[in-house]
Amino acid sequence: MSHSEVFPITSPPASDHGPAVDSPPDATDHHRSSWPVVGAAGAATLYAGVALVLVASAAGTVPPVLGVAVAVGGGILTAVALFGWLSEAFLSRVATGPADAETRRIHVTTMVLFLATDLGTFGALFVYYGFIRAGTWPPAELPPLIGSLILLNTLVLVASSLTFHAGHNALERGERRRFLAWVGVTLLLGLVFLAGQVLEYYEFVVLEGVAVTGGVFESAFFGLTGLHGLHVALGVVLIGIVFVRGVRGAYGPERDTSVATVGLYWHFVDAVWLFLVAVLYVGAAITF
Amino acid sequence: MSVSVDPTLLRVGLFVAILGGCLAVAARAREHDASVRPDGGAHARRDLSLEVASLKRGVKRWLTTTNHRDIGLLYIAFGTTAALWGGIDGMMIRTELLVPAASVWNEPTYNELFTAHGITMLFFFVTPVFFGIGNYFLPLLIGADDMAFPRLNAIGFWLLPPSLLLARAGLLSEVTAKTLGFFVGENPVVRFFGALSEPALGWTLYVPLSTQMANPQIDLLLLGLHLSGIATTLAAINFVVTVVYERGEGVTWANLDIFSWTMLTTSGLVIFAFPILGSAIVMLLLDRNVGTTFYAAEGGGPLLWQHLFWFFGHPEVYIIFLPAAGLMSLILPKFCGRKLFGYQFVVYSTLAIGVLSFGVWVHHMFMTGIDPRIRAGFMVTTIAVAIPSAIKVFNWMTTIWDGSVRLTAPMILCVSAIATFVIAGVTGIFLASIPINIQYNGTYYVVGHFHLIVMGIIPFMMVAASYYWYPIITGRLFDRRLARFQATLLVVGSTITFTTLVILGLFELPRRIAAYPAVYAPLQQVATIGAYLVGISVLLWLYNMLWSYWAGPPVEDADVWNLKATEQFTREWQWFEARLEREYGIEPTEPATVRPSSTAVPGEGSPAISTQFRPIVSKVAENTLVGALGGLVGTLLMTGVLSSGAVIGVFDVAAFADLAGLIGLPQDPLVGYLVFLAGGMTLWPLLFVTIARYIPGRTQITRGLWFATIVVAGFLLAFYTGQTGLELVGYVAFSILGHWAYGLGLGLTLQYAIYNWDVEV
Repeated sequence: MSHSEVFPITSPPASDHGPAVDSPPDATDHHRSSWPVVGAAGAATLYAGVALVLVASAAGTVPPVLGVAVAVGGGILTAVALFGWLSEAFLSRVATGPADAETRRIHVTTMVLFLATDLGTFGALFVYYGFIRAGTWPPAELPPLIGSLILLNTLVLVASSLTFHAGHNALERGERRRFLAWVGVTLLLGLVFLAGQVLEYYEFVVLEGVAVTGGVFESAFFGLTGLHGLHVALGVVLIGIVFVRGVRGAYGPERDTSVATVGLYWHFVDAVWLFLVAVLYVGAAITF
Repeated sequence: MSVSVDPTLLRVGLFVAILGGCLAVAARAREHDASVRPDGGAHARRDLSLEVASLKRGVKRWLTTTNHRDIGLLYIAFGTTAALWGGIDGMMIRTELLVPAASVWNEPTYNELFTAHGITMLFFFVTPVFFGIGNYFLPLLIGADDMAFPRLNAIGFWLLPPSLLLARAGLLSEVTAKTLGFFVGENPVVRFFGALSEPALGWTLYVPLSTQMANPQIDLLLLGLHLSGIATTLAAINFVVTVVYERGEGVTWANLDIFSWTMLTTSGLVIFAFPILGSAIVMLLLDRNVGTTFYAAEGGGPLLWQHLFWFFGHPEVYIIFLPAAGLMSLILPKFCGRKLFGYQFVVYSTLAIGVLSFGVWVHHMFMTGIDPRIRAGFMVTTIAVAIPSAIKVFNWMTTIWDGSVRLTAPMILCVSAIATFVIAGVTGIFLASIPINIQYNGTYYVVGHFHLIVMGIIPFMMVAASYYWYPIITGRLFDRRLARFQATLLVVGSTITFTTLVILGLFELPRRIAAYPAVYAPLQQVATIGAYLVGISVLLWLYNMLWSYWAGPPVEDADVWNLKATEQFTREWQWFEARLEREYGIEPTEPATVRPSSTAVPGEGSPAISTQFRPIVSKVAENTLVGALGGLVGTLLMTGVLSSGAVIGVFDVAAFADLAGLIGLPQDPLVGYLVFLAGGMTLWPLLFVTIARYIPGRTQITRGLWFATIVVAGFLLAFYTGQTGLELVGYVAFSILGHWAYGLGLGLTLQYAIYNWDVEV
């Protein structure tokens, strides 16, 4: 360590190949990582791309497609960074023994906190729906909301929560093959739900001519189902990661941290869907 | 008054000038660094190398760091930069308001200025700086190795600079368009940048204005705010997990320091408030660009935006206030030599504020025609939220009581912040009352009220913390004398500015408007002068921080604030001490005497003011009496001089009649003279006795003369009766002579009393 400074403003950079043996703990107990700044750059590019689209359509000097390209590039960069991050933090470590109980608690709590923020994210849109329900209702002719598709999709999502839970139970009993089977089924059910959602949008938008800008109900409908669909899509990605890691043997009865956190997320998304069906589908069709 | 400087160029120019000044200070300070190491050798200078290799190393080191202290410093540097940016906007707002007409710049510029000022300060200055302080010190205070998620911590910071750039892209692109246009003339690129300009709609982004304005920079602003919201939420989750799970040995919920408590509560508020804003912003973006109906009249309407915005916005008030309160509870006791009074109550009041802050949002919307019964409910909750804040204030005051107060720079800021916060809080309680709110909501009263918080306690505590912990961060000492001056100037400037705004509001001057009736000009000018004092004090702070970083004397004893003597040498200082010993061989020291900060036994613990009641009262009485005698002598001497002036005809005795009229007595010269005499025996001598020790001069006589010379300016204005030419010269001369006579009489009497009657002044 160099003494050329009076007092380094922070600890000097740790060497890249791990902590030295007998240097002071303060100088070496911090690792470094490039992924946060790369991820931030990706997110910034994504947002800048969206901004470029909006400015371009207003200024009329740059083709908006350029902005779309920038946004897509930003999205890819973000995804790469998140994957690099995940592999640095979790995937690269081939642990075999039981996970530290404290670490598990920390991660589960963090997921609960994230889901608490999601309450606000969904809440704002539900408040909008409350506003239009308190106004003139129904505002216009509503699309045919309740049909076999939505019932089937609801069953699929509820079933996927149960299968994931069954998988987690199997893992705790040490039945690895059964765990993998259940998680695989969950993954499939998630994909089926997404396909059902796409089909529903296709029926509404293309066949029925229900546009996003069609009216006050459409804003609520596409806003809420769209936000929920994004959550399901992220959930499918997460379950996919759990599945792949499961195949590689990353989990055991005492080593189930990410199974627990992803499970929490998946059950939350399921619960939001049930609430959403109750108020947005069934609730809209019923008038007082 | 008319300025032809282009406001956008001026805004960028001032910012660049300040940054340039910072670099110049750093370079000069480095040249001046002549510090000596404890072992006698000269300290090597701090690196300020501009070689490519070392720059590359530096960039890589800062970009990839996950160390909580590094990230804390990044946050603080970012927040300070934003503060300078928003501060320039603030100074320009006040400059525009120097004159009644909107003639310095025009109305649109003024609207842009207050929009940018609010958004920059609230979103990009306050929260980042507090998260920075939290990042650096919270893990040290709770004995954690680092934050719970170091990488999450890093990305939480790195999302902020692009958010700020997006939010303020209007200014940058306007300047780019103007500069490019100047050189290359009209072309598509210039048109592209010219399409953006700073939004002019107020930081609350109310619809329908924000859905109707075409300016695409509004979209960029919304994107920037959304991104910054994500960053803030990530950081908040990290803080909660860190405090809950990463506490070191011996740190329990029962002895967790108050700053960590407030950071925990603030983070909890962020977790529930910011996502609402995030969704509300996306809905606004969709309304603007896709054609959804979230805020359209037939959909949620403008009221929906206000509900969502303020459901976020009011907790946001406490998100930015609570860390300041935490710093107060942490720093104040150290300079009272006394433990924080009522620890549990301060904790509970923090949690109570956290809960109540979500139940008061409609008080921002009393004017929107909401059902009166709902308004009444929110009036009650709003008044209720004052109670936990008051609990904090009383606990702070009780901590000072019986303490041995040391008026260091942080302490000056602490005690002043209590005072300004009390004014802010009390004006707020009045605003909570619906009838008063309807009268004053649209006026400067509100601006004054909330600035007494967002200026009167938040930056005060940031600056206090920057002084208090400066040695830990830099290993150097700052200029304490300059710091005390800077702290006082900041307090004086803020108080002048924002109490004046409260008064302007009581005269019902509407806010957010560039032009105003001429009758308000004097008060507006006073407020502007106060604001300039704040600006100067900020530059002095910046200078002190930078200069001392390179040229301040190195720390030679970890107990910089003499905290060991009262057993208040807390964890972060212990960590610092261990580090000094490990890296520089600086041995820990022990003070000569040690007493606990918690004792209640007089003589053993803190000095007890209650046991010294009698001597204090008798000293005050003695000073008052001697001062009155000196004032009588002085005023009589002055009367002689003024009488001569009256005889010659340069001084009009009728001016005394006005003095009597001013305080509601009959307008008679004799009554006025008696008032003058009474003032000369009470007000002025007491003021002199209070500040005499700060006035130059070895004897009371010299000081008395200086004092009289200073106050003569007020007299000249008050007793002026329209003299011109030679008469005016005579008036000024006799006024000065008269005051010197007064100062001489006062000073001589006091000096006599000190020599012969053993009076202590």
